[in-house]
Amino acid sequence: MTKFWIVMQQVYKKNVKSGSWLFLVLSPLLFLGIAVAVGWFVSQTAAPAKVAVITDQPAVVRALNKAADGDVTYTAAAKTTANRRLTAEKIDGILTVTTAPTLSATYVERANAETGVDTSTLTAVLSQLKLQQTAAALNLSAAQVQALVTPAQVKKRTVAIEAGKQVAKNDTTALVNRGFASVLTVFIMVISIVYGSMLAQEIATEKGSRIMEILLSSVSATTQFFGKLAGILALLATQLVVYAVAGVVAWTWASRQAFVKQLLASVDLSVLWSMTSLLAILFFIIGTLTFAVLAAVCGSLVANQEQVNAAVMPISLLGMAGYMLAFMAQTGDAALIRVASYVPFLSIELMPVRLALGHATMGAAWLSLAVSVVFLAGFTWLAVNIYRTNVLVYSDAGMLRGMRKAFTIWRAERRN
Amino acid sequence: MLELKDLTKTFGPMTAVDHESFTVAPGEIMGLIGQNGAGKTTTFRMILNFLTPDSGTVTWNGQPLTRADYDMIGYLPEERGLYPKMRVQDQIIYFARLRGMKTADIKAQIPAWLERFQVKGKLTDKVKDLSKGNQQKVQLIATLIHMPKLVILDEPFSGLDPVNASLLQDGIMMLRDNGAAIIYSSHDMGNVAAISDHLVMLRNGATVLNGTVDAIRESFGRTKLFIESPLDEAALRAFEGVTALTQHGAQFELTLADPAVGQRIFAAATAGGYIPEFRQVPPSLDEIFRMKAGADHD
Repeated sequence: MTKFWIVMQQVYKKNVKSGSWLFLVLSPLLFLGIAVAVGWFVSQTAAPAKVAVITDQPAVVRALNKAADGDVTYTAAAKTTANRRLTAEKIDGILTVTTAPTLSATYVERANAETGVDTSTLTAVLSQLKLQQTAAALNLSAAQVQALVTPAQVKKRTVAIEAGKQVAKNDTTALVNRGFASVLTVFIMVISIVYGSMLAQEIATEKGSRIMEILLSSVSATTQFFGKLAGILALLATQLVVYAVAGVVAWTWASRQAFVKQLLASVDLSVLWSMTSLLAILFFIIGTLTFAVLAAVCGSLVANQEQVNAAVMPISLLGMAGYMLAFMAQTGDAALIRVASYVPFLSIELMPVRLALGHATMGAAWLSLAVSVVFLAGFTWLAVNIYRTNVLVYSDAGMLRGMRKAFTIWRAERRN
Repeated sequence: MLELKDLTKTFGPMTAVDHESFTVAPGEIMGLIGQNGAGKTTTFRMILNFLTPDSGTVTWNGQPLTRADYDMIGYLPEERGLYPKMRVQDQIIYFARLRGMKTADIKAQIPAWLERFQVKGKLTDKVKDLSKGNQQKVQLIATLIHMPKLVILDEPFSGLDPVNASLLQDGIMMLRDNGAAIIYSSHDMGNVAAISDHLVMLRNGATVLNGTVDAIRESFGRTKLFIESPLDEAALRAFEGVTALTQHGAQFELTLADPAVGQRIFAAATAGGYIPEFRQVPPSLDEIFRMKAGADHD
């Protein structure tokens, strides 16, 4: 096995067993799982509410039961029986329907019953009945009734401007895109900060505890640098695989649930299976790599364990800056946002969001991605050089002094 | 054989190592001595390829040291470091695997090494739970378990009590008998005199001493005299060429300007026959170190 693999394996194995990584991966799943389980449990155990109906028309009870769709059971009852059963808390409410002079009703419910009985549903059902009765009394035909009840129509259409043309969008598309964009930003921010910090900490600890010199006498700084980077990325890949598996399992269950089916039918999820999505993934990969490289450089700057937190700071700051800008981008496409979406470190959060919101074209996104890739290549080359010099420099006078000293050594090394 | 030829390294205006040359043959132990900042660590770093010399060469068996040679190097840095949360066994395995050893071989050999250095603690203990001395031993094992051919130890004796220091000495001897070329730095001249075949002293990057321990001492001449005789302090001071005198009980310790003075003192002291002590020796390494280190303060 090459030394690259040994370093990578070491980083991976050490972190994958650590409590903080397990918490990072499992906590969102756990909280989501608990929320779903609670909701499902509540919906499964809720028994239908029982309502007694005092009426002389059996048609009313039939119509009400049909409209309630199992959530409420309406039963015809005599007034005294109904009152007795309500007092005994055997039933949840009493609906009294009178037909003369006109169809009207009174609904009494126990204060602590918490039923799903909705007065607007009751009104709708009774209005429908009343309409039928009135139509019958006036000898109106079905067509006449239809003409009377049909309201005036107002239609709304949402369009997006793509490549200078209006493209029809489902009403919910914008909402879904916005949601996708916000989830994406948070995800990228959390991942780049968390994994960046992890790598910085890893290197800083080795340097601070002087393990670095032993490592450097067995493997080259370059091998070590890339081995560590690969180890952290393997860790990230593991997390994504865990989420993918959890996602597939959840999907097989959820897609069989009625409310999910209804929800899916009403929204346009095309943004998830589009070029936007692909670009977001590419930005995510390039961005995480860029952050990881920065983290390695930051980690190599420390002189002792106490400086580790300071070393992680630039990563958090850049991650947060991108997040703030991406948040601003959701309210409008200002010049600052447009420029920043081409700046490495910021672009990874900003460009996918602008793209999802329709503020940027595909071409612009590819251009920004190209800038990021070129930057990453140059930055990595620079980082390896900085890293090689830095890991041997210990300056207790602080990180800036350390950097100056590293620069002197670097120049001395370049001369030879 | 490790050979350093005319090695020079500068950092900006500062010359860290100035035209340094020496060789360490297999089965030889070389002590590198000097004050802090004399250039010892810089020398080690140039041997290990961490730093590139401005001029001069470092060769191993006539070839420059490359990545392929990493596996036969054992390096103990001056400031020790281990992963505090890692278990003792995992720690040794990681470092040894990076030197090209197989996990199974490492596991098989760890118990013998723990025994050799008398490490108190279990293989499954976390490093931070061991005492400082035991942590140092674990680090030594991690440095030596792959039986390196070139061993570089930066201040290996610092922080060890006499018992552990002699365990370390035994370990170093064992590696030497196994044919390793060993180079180490130390402040403790007692250890240096006891185990070094060869010695180099640096001052401000310049080599001020270079040779075997005996040759270096002899080169200073037998200017130290320990004597217990009927001659009293006044009588001893009366000899021309006695530059310093200290009394330890009945014994006097004299520093002579010229070894020849000893013969005159011997003649006078033994005029009445038997005396319990007359010992004329070169200065100790410790004295030479102080003499040489202090030279620029004069």
